[in-house]
Amino acid sequence: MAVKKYLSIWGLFISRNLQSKMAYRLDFIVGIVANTLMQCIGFLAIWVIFNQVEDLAGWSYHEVLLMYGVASISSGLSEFFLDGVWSIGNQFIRKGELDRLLTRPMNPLISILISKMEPHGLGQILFGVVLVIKVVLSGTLSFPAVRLCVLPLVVLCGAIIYLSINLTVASFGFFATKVMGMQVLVHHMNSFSKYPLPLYHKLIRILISWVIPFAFTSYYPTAWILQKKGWIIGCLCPAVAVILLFLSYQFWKWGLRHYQSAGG
Amino acid sequence: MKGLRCSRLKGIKRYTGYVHLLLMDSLAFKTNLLSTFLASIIEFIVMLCIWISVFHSKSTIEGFSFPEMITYLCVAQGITAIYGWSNSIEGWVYERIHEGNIVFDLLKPVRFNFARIAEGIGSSILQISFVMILMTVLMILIPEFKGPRSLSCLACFILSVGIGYFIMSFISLIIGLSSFFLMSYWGIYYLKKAIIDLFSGSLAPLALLPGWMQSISAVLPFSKIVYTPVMIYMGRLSGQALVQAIFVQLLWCLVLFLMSEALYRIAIRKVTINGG
Repeated sequence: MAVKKYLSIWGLFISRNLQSKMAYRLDFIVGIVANTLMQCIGFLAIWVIFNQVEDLAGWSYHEVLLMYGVASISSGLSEFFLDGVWSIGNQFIRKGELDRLLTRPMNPLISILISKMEPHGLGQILFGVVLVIKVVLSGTLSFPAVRLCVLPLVVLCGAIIYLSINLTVASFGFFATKVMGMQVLVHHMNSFSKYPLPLYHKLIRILISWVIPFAFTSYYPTAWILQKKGWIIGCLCPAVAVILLFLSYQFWKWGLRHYQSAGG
Repeated sequence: MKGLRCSRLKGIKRYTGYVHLLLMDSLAFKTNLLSTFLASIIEFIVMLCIWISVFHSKSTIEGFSFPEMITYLCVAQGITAIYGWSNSIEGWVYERIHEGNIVFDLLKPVRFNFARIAEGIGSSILQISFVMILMTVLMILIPEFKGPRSLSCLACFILSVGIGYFIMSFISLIIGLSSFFLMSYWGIYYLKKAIIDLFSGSLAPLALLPGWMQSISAVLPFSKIVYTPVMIYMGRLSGQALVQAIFVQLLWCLVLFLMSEALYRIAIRKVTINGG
């Protein structure tokens, strides 16, 4: 079955990638330390804010921490597994490595995705998990614990949303050069999704919810878990992930057809 | 003859070529600069929104009123933005070492460290222009963003930023030269960015950090890059304290310069011993 084949190839590539990254031990460690430090800075920022006030846009300290933890896990997942998308513009399209992948009996997008992995994504996932556990165990939040069971689905959808958004921007690389800047810029918009949405001006809220829907990676799922939003939003999260994945994949395929018909 | 005279450029003039080269380089890649610039504006907007919300319930925070906090934020972010992504001294040093081109630099009649700093200056010129335009726009759009207390305040501020710039450049040099032990420099770049964000005061006034972090920050050079100039701008350091602060900055500048020179000598010995 095709899925089984892909999964086993994927497993192979992951272990191979991991081995090659760990060959440069110091790099590996420095990368993880740096990333963990950046997560800690995010945590410190929240601490600094709540050292001064009791709530931020109606969210308490532990609620914001929960949201930050969920955001870390999603973005860590996408960085760890889906780092290949960043290289699409430069390495694969411009330098022509995509041609090599097109000769393989495998979906070229999957080839790209499994070719790269960033171990520091692991640090982010771990940080997020520790944070979520810490918040839940502190007992300060009152929500039905059973809602936590959706967390694996939430972070998976989050990673899919990150992938879809990044893939869409990267696919512009088929038609224009230098998309890396755009990718970085769009990716940075996830900074908005680290804090509760009511904090921002209406325009930003609309941007982050409906145009570049990073809010569905962290804010809306956490709001549903904490019973701040109803079931409609709860169902929207996976729906948005699926729709975005479909749309971005179509755009990628369209760009790929254009690339191939232009003689590669 | 004119030709011969050009080939005997003395002193600072030897480095203007590097400044010019990187300035042209950065002009060629303005789109990249613009997108990373816009990315940092996003961070700025997030912080602005947070502080606006926080000040709804409190009128002062650790001795900063709302206009003062906004002013702090704008100026601190402005100084941080000057360094940007394009001014990547550690990247250039790393490239030269790892691609072996450093041998060519050893042949040139310029000091390696100073040449890299000259490149940094060239690269920063465009960045500084962007920042100054942005600051002016912000001052018009945000009434809480106040100007400097006086002209002498502004002059001292510019001096302080200038010294801070060199402190930052030497730190970058040191990190670049230490890249001998690393294969890729992205890890250490992010580590440096994280540590500097933390201790320089670019995210929030140092008074907001936990006590033990403030103590650490006082003995590290990073706060002298952002926090000191901003405090001078806001007129919170004046008279004796001002002179002292500038003196501390100059001291760190000297210390880091000596460190970068020492590291350079160690690096060069390694390069030449290994056959270049």
